[in-house]
Amino acid sequence: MNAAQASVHLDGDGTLVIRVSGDWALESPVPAPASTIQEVKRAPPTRLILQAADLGHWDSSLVSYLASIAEVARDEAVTVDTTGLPRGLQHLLALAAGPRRPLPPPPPHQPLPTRIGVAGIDFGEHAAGMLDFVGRASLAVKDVLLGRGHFERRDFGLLLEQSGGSALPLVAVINFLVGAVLAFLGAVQLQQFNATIYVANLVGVGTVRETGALMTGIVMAGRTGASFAAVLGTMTVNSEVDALETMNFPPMEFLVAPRILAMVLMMPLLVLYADLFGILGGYVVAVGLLDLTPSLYLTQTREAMTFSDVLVGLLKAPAFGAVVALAGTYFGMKTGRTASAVGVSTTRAVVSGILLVIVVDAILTVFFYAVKL
Amino acid sequence: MPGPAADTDFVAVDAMTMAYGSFVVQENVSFSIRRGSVFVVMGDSGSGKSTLLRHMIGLDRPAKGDVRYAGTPFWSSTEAEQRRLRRRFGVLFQGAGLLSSMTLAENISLPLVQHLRVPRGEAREVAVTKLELVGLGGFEDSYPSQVSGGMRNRAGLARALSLDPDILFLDEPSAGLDPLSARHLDDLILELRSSLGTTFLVVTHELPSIFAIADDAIFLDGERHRMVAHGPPREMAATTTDPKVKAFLERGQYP
Repeated sequence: MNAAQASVHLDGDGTLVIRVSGDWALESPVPAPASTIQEVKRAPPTRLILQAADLGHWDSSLVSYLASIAEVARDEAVTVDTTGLPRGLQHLLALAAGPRRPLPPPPPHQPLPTRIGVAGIDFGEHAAGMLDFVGRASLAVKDVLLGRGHFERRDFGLLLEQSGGSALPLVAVINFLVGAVLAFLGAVQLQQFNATIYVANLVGVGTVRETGALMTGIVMAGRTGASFAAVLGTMTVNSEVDALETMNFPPMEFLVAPRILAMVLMMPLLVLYADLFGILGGYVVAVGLLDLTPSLYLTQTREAMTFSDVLVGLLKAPAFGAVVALAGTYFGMKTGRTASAVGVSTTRAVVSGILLVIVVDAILTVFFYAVKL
Repeated sequence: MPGPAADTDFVAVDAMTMAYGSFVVQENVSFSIRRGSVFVVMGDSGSGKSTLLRHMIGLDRPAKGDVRYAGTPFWSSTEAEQRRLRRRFGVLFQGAGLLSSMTLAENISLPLVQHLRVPRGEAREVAVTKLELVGLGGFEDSYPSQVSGGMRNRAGLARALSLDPDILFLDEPSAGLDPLSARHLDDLILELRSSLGTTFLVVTHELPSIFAIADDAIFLDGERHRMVAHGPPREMAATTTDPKVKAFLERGQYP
């Protein structure tokens, strides 16, 4: 292979001759047109002649090299003579010289304060949109509960399974481990006072009041909230949501309300189940490592917990379920019309789902403290 | 309001301007569709053909103007009235928009079961008939992901037909169909028009289809953002003075 070469030569009468030779291939180094383009712009020649001499193999690299120079020359009203080139190359250059749309101007660079302002307005719109969504979703849930909404019973069964049954293993593992960690943490501190028996209080009350519901909420945000957003997002991209709308199935009733209902119904059950595994985790650590007898630990657990402790966890559960489902469905329905938009929606649904669960937990904890529950 | 006057203006788009934010897609589009005719919307890519369809079926609110169905304006009506109007529409979306969690038969019987309270077994019978009508007999238990794009399109048409609509909106129905299936689809449209008196609005740029089915047509220009031609396609081809429309209808034939 001969190296690709381009000799640029300016004749006495102002004619610029570019003679290309050698093998031009995209994967090997070829001359760059930039300096020639500069030259043509600075001092336009009277004529531009493109010629080939000893030209071997050539591909798009040569076409784009010549086309970019010829285009600038034409802009400067210079006649371009391509007759010295192979026929195929002449045709390709003629095609490339077709009319072109002017490029849209690049978006103006915005200074930092403007961008902060725009982001703030966007955030405000998102917040307003979310409130509007919550309102419409509540109305749709009401319609469905009163039997006025459209919804597929079979789909609802699948949703119940998705937001309940299929999460059981994950909820069990996570709550078991959190219960065990609580027990360890408590044991180290309580040993100093010879009060290891109170590990049972810590694990029991801590799990049913707090960690059981919180951990389950977070798991569901990452699991089911994400899947809601991905499914609804994909349906938006595939025009399925549009189709439902034109067939008089309001997406709010048909898609959003059943998902919210499913989560609100399943969360308390999941939390109850999570509580059992949390206590079991504490039990295994306490009995296995702290030399407490099983019966002593269980009696202590039963005495430590009150009904209101359990109730607090169970009241948090539907609230967590609602915010996770709302975040998932809101971002799912807000998805743009591309595949990457589905990814963005899913991420947002998980992030805001987890955030909302923790915020709601904080609010409810203070609330329950205030009402002495 | 029915009567001879309502028949010529069965569907009437009044000075509709469509915009996304500040970007105007099409300005001041007006036309009317006679009952029982096939109306074709043509235009270059990105000229807003599908956007016009979305504005007509109630998915996007026009920036200005309205669309009337047998005299009833859509956008200035109450939600209940809009529902009643939508009930008479059948829509085939680009890519069909079938619900991917349901089989083809379930997709078609869904509106029957939910809106008309038809028992499931009976609804399935209807669905199978509609599928046979579009040449998809035997595919009733397939999921949309299990059939080809062209077959999905035809199944989407079967679903659009499920409630025996007065008006069928088809968005690029023959996209992805082989020439024979495309021809079959054209025949089906003409057959439905003459046997059921269905009115059609078809968005397409398939020239053979346009000449085969269209009673009337408009041409939307994406660069000038307005309607540049209106009339039956053959007449339009013969009389238009717009170079773009002429080139389009002659498929840019080389002189």
